[in-house]
Parts: sequence; C-alpha cells; structure tokens
Amino acid sequence: MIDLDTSLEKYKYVREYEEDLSISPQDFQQLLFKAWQVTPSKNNFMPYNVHVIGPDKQHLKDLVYKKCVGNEGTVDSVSDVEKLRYSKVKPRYWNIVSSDYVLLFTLRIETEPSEFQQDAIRRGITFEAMDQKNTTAAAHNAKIEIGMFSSALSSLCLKNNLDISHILCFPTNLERWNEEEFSFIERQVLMIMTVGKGKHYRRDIIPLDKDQKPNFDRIVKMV
Amino acid sequence: MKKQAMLIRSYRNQIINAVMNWQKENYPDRTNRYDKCERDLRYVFKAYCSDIYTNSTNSIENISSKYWFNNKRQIIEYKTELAVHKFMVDYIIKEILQEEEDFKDCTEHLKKLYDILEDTIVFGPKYTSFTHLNYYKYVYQYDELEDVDHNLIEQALYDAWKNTPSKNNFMPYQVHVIRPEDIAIKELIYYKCLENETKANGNHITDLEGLKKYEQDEYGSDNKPNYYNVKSAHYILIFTQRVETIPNQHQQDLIDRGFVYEQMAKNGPKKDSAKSVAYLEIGMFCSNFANACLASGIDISHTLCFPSDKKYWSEPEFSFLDMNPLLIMTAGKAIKYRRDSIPLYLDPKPDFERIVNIVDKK
Repeated sequence: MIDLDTSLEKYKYVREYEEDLSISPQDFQQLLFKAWQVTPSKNNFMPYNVHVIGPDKQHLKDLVYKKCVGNEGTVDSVSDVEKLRYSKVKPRYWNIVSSDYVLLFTLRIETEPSEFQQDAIRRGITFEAMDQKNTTAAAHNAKIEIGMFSSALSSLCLKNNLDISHILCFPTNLERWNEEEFSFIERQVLMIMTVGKGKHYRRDIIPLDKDQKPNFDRIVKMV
Repeated sequence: MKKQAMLIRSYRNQIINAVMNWQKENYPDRTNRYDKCERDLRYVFKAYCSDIYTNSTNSIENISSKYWFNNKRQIIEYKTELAVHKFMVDYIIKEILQEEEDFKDCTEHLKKLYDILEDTIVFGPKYTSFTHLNYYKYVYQYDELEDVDHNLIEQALYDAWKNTPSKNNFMPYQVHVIRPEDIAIKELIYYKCLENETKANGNHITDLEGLKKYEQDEYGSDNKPNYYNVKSAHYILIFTQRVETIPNQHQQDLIDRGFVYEQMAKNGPKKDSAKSVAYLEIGMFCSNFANACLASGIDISHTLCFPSDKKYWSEPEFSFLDMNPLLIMTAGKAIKYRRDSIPLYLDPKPDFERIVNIVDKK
C-alpha cells in the first residue's frame, strides 16, 4: 500500500486569518529552513529569493494588499474595485492584511557560483541562472522551483496546523514595487504566499459542488 | 574551516575504524549488524565534514532528524548511540585536531554539531519537519531491470492532482505520462535532450545518426550523458500548458459578472500570463508527486534542458502534445545518483540566508 503523506489534504484557501500570532518568527524560520533544505534546484542555483514579511510589519502587508486590489482593477478594467466589488464583503486579498507572514518570491540571478559551477563555467558551460541580461529562461525555471519550494513549505505548515494561501494577482513588474519600503526587492515579483491560522475560508462561501477543479482525466493523460 | 574539514575527511577510515573498535570493546552485545552501525556512522561523519567545510549546521540537522519518523524515535536504546558519537567527536578533537590553537574554531564548531545531534536524537526535531522529500536525490540512471508498480504511480498522480491547489481552480496545465513499455518514445525524448545540449554548446546536431555519433564520441560506452535518466526512466511526465474551455459553474458565474480569466485565453499576453501561472502550479504538482513517489521508494528527477518549442516535437509519437512542453519529470527505481559522483561539499545549494530574506530583521 502506498504511504501517502496527507497533510496537504488539510489545505483550504484562506480568505481571512485569525488575529492572534500562530507561530513565532524563530519557529517559522525553522519551517522555512526545512523547505529550503528539501527543495531541489536545477544545477543547485535556486534562482529565487523568498522575502518574509513578519508579524510586526503590518504597514508592508497593507501596501502589498493595495497593490493586489489595484491590479485587479487594472486587469478587469474596473476603476474602483474596492467600492464596486467589496463594499459589502471583505475583499479578496484580505488574507494578506490579516496573515502572520507574507512571503514575496522574486527572481534571483546568481553572482557567486559554487566551486562546482565555476568549474563548469571554465569548461564553457553557460547557465541561464547567471544571465544578467536575458532573464526569461531563468524566470521560467524560477517559477517551477518556487512552486516546489512553496509546496514543501505548505506541507510543513499544514502538518503544524498552520494555514497557507497563494496569491497570483499582483503587479509583477519591478517598477510597480518602487516604494522605499520595498527596496529589498531587486527583481520581478513572481508569487505571493500568506501563512497564519485561518479564520474564514473560500470554501465557506463557495461550495465545492459549484467550484470543482477539472477532473483527474482532464489533467493527467496516460499516453 | 575548509582546510580542517578536508584534514578530518582524509582520516575518515582511521576514525571510523577506531570508533567501531571502541564500540565492539565497550558495548559488545549492542548489535550483530556492525555493517549498519558503520554505515550510519559514516553518514554522521560526512555531515560533520560538510558542515565544517561550509561553516553551517545544515547537514547535521538533516541527518539527526532522520532518527525520528512521524514523531517517533527510530532507536529505543539511544544512550549507547550517543556514547558512540561522543567518542567519535572526542577522538577527532584529540587525535586529529590535537586541540591545537589553529583548530580552535573547528573544535568549537564540531562540539556544537555534536550538541545538535544529541539534542535531536533525544528530543526530536522541534517541529514536525519530516517530509519524504528528504529522500530526494537527482538520478543519473534508473535500473531498467527493476519493475515499478503502475498502481503506485497512478496513486501518486492522483494524490498530486487532488492536493495541488490552483488559482481559481483552473489547473492550467496537463501532465502527459509515458509508460515503461514506450521505450521508443523515451529514446526519442532522450535524443531531443541531447540535441538541445549540442545546440547550447554551439554545435547543433539535428539528425539521429549524428546524435548517436556525438553520444559515442563525447561519452564513449562507459559514461552516460546527464539525460540518461530520461532514456532509462520507467515513467516520463511531460508537462504542457492547458487552456480551459469548460469553466465550472462558479467560474462561469464570475465570467458573467465581468471577471476575466487568463487561463481561458487562447492567445496574446493573457495566454502568456496563464503560462506563468502554469509554471508555478506545475512546480507545486511535481513536488507533491515527488513526495508521494519518494514515500513509496520511487525516485524522481526533473529535466529542464530540452527543446521547448512544439515545432521540435513534430514526430507522430508526440501527436498528443498540443502545446509547448514546459517541464519533463522522470520516475523509477534509481541505480546511480548524481550525488554518487559529485559530493555535496563541492556542490552545495546557496546558503539559506542568500535565498530567504527575513524582512523583519532589518
């Protein structure tokens, strides 16, 4: 019988987190460390950064939230999204404001290759993870690996009774993150993730029978 | 402390033999499986060397966490285990580092590493940090003589599908699974990867005969190219983007209210945005698939070097591909790993602090 790790079954998209702090920064760092440790990377480059906005940086979370709401308006060509769509209900992205931790994943281009990578470079091998000019290929790999990292972290969080959610509606361009508060961001933002103890879930208001994922057979094709 | 790590490593056999002899003398009834003891001792010794070399504690934290599984310590009588490890550390300090002033930092670090090992063996890792991804090692070659139970793969695929979240529940990707018996398709994919290698190296060879010659000239009969895992894998997964044409009821309700979904765009920048989402979610799916496979003793690896444009996959064997391939993943029982020939201390990933930036520390 296959030994399935079922912690991911606990996953539910969070609309709003509890206000009380669920995990201390020191302890959360241990989960991040484990995720870093077990996530594989092409040629061991890890072409991404994870910027962790902790519990005491509420003003940063508020700024991230505003960017996401603004982005929804731009994408859907709606001038005042908050007023039009969220005057009666708490907005989507409220999970950002109420979370314990917000993680911003950004692209990272390596400048300090390991000894093994340097040996390969001397033998004429080029690595897209070090290409400062054309970052398209590095960004593709980074996204796949960010997916892996966040999945490993999700599994660890859920095992320890923490909820998580991902956000993919936000401005990606660096120019849209030009406030002084985000000076730590050096390259494009690729994903946002939130962590905390869930209070309200998406599934509380949208029943599963109306919102199922595509059937297994539509996603996995046995050739 | 790189020099000290190399020095300790050069005395590996002497140290291990001394510890084994000490154990046999002081705890003669402990076990009759000394080979297993020696193997575990070597793992810990390797972790010490790696952590001293990189001035970190990553390896010892990892190796010591393996004494626990699902919140249960895997050895009942742990005091003897600790005594043996304590002897090893004392032996290294006394006989190899000889308590010299130049080696003071290394000695202190080694003591710290032992403390972590002891603490973890006794009390366990602070958090439930076990994940089957601990078992991941990049595969160079799979064992084609071994069988893999198809049910395990199907179950792992189902588990990944069930537990992988998706933006607005679209799952904008497909996973095409090549089975063990499709040897010809696997060979075609292998040569595509090899072709991509020649292209990247500025010597683009496109015909099969030319590639076979390149393979022979470049690698001979003893060595295998990096992509040999593709040829020898039991299963190959090809991930492609998927455009949704049948939205679920909730998605349709929102579309009717003016919401726009890039996962349904057939072309243009919105389709590119959906591809970006697909990359991230494919990463999540394959991590969950990997976890389920590794839990069942099935190895996996990822391949990102291949022709990414569908026009290079024009053979009738690939008629199932209606979009560009985004990732290739292999699964099976491994016979040779990358780590067998490239040790961790030569090829570490970037340090934790270089990847994870705790903003509230600033």
